[in-house]
Amino acid sequence: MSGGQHTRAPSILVVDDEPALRSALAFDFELRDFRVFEAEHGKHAMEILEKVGDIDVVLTDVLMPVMGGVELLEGIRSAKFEQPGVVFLTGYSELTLEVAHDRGADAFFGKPFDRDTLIRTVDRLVLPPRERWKSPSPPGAGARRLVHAKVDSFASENAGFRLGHGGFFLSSDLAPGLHVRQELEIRIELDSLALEGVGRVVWSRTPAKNSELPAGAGVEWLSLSDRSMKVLLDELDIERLRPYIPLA
Amino acid sequence: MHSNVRGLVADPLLNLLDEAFAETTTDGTLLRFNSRLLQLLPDLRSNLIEALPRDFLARLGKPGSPLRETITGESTLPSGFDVRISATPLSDSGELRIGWTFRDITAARRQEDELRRQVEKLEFVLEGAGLGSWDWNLTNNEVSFDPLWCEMLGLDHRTTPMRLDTWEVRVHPDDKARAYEDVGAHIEGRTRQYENVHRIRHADGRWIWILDKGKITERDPSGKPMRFSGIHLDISAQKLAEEELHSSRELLDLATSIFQVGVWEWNIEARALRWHSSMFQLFGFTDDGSEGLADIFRKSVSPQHLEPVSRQFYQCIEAGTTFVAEYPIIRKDGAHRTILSKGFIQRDATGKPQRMIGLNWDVTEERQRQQQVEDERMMSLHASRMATLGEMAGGIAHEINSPLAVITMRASQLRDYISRKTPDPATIGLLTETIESTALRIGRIVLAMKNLSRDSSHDSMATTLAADVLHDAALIVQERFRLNSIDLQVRIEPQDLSLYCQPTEISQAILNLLQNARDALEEAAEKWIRIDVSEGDGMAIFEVTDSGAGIPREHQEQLFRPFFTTKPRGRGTGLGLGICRQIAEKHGGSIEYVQDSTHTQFRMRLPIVPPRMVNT
Repeated sequence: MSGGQHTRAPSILVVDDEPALRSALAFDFELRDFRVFEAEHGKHAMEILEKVGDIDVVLTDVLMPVMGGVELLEGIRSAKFEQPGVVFLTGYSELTLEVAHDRGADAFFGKPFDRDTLIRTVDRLVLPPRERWKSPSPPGAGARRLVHAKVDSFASENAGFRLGHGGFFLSSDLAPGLHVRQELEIRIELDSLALEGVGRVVWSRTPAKNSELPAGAGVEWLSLSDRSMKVLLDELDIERLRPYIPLA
Repeated sequence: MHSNVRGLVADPLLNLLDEAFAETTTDGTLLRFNSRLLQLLPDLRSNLIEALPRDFLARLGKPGSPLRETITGESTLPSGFDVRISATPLSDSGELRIGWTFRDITAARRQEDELRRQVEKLEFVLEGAGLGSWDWNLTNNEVSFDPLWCEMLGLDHRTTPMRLDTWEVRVHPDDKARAYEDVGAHIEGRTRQYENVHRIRHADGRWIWILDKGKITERDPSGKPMRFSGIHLDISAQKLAEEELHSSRELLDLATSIFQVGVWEWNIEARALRWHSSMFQLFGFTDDGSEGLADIFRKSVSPQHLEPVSRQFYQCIEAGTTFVAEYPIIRKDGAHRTILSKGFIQRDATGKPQRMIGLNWDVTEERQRQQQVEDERMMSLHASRMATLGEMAGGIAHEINSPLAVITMRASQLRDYISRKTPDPATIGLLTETIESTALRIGRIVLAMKNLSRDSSHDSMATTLAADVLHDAALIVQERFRLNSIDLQVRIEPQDLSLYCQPTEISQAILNLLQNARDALEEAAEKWIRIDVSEGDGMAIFEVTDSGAGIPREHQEQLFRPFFTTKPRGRGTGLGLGICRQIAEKHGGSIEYVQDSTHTQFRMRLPIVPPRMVNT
């Protein structure tokens, strides 16, 4: 997604019904030489997106009058304009991180959030994927876990492994006991193809009694081998996939 | 001086005789006499016969005819003496004479008269008192029953056998042995008189109760009883009354024990209190007279209740009104109980209060149950408020988290900014001001949350500004309404209108109405809610109107019924309006759906001042 031109300043659209928060966010990104646009609700944001056309990142609240963040995300993902990265900033909503990523949101923050993390996330999102995943990320806390799995499919439902545009779902059958924020050394093999890189567990799910969703974890890519990046972006064209990480 | 009658002198020898004595010729000429005769016949001359009353003379036969045998007769002399006169012919000396004796029977006669009068009087009394009498000859067991005795048993006196059997066969088998025992005891001299109560079969078959009293009335010279006389009194009526009294007393005992009620009586004139045994049980004391009632009462009732209860009691006595009081007691066994006491004035025929009859109940369990019900009600009120708040929680969390995000961002920015080479004071000011004002905004929301979520069941009623009552509810819903694009307007006229209420409960009622309005407007094109508060008829009138088109007529009747809801499952319990009504009525107010409004409108009326206490 995203991947605007490097020749121009990155652009960001801040959508929130709280003017004080819009101001605070604008303050930061203006200092970082972003082109900053503001909207007070989803409908207003759609208008700006259509008019401006090349927004790199949309920072949006979820609950807003007139049109909320989820509806805005649907609008963005269904629209013809170049797809921006979408970051949810939510004070409170029924929407979970798991669902938000499945619907196509690239990041999800609960209010109040850590400002530095938000800025790092936005900075990363404005980069084109190849840039984003090129540099091997420095190891986080704790040793990385090795995850090697052979899968039958890269993009089918209920196959135990499924790609999104920013990561993948991995069932606990293939890699049991993953926990949130855990970093992984990944090697996923499908016949002769292999995906190799470093990922981080974003969510982990144990099966609920009433849920048909399988147990597993949502993992986002931190870095990828050149070969793997080529497979994902050129051969599998993951940028066209709506989910950032699929639910299952 | 009486010893001399025409030269005749009383014979000194004859004077020794106690009776009057005289010797005359057949025509009555005195020959000899004694002085006693002169006492009886002071007017005596020389002829005795001439001095005798006529009624006696008639017995002597024709004058002049010879007296052949002794003639006796009683007569009253002109001197007033009653005498028994005896005239005996004396012929020892050949010449016929008459010997006279006069026995003074005045005293004996009087005694006899007296006795007769007594008997007559007794008979009169017996008859008047309905007493039958019997006279039992112990030597042959013949008994003379008088007509009244027979009548009492439905027997005909003329055909009733005068035998002991007549009585014996009629005595109730259960009472006979005891009756004979009492008879024997008297005959043997162990009792001064015989007395026994027994049942006797009346001729018509029913049993009548007889009080039987008697005494030995004659003994032989050796002292052996010969006659036993007595009276019968039919005491069936008394016995019945006694039984009735007994059974009503038993009934009272039974009733008091079943209903756990204590019965007391206050005699107004005597200022005397009486307790039925049930009262002692109620207070945990024993009815053995070891402690005075006033002491028991003082010991049981706590000092702070004793004085007001006593005062109220005397006021009711004074005014002749019904006494009702409830007070806690500590029983002798240490148990804490609650007593409800009611006293009713009883008047005599003239309407003058005579006494107060009182009932006391132990209402401890009842009061505990009521308290429990009230507690549960309060808990359900609280729970429903928590549910409402829970439904609002999303909006509230959103409203708190957004400003928090502003604060954390601004604080972080401030930290970065002041580390610059040339920080601009104006920018620093902007950042700090934003932090401060945003934090205060959070504080207000949290306070409103706290006000509405805490347990307010023990809050008291207070005069509160309508604006303050609305404030918390409005603050809670405002973010939710804003997110739903609902326009909320509040109008209070006059602005300083206040009402007497429990503020949290009224806030809750308003919150429920707002919540309902919001739910109703979810799909509406036009979304607004208006709260109008005004004054009318001494009431504060809250009107909550939303832009909806009203409630279908078929639902209007059920609106306030608990659990009535048209909302989808999980969206509402259907308790909201029921609780609104409960709250309004508890405050002495009301709530209604306004039918003639073009929009959906609810009107709640609440008193502005406390309801006036009755009788104070």
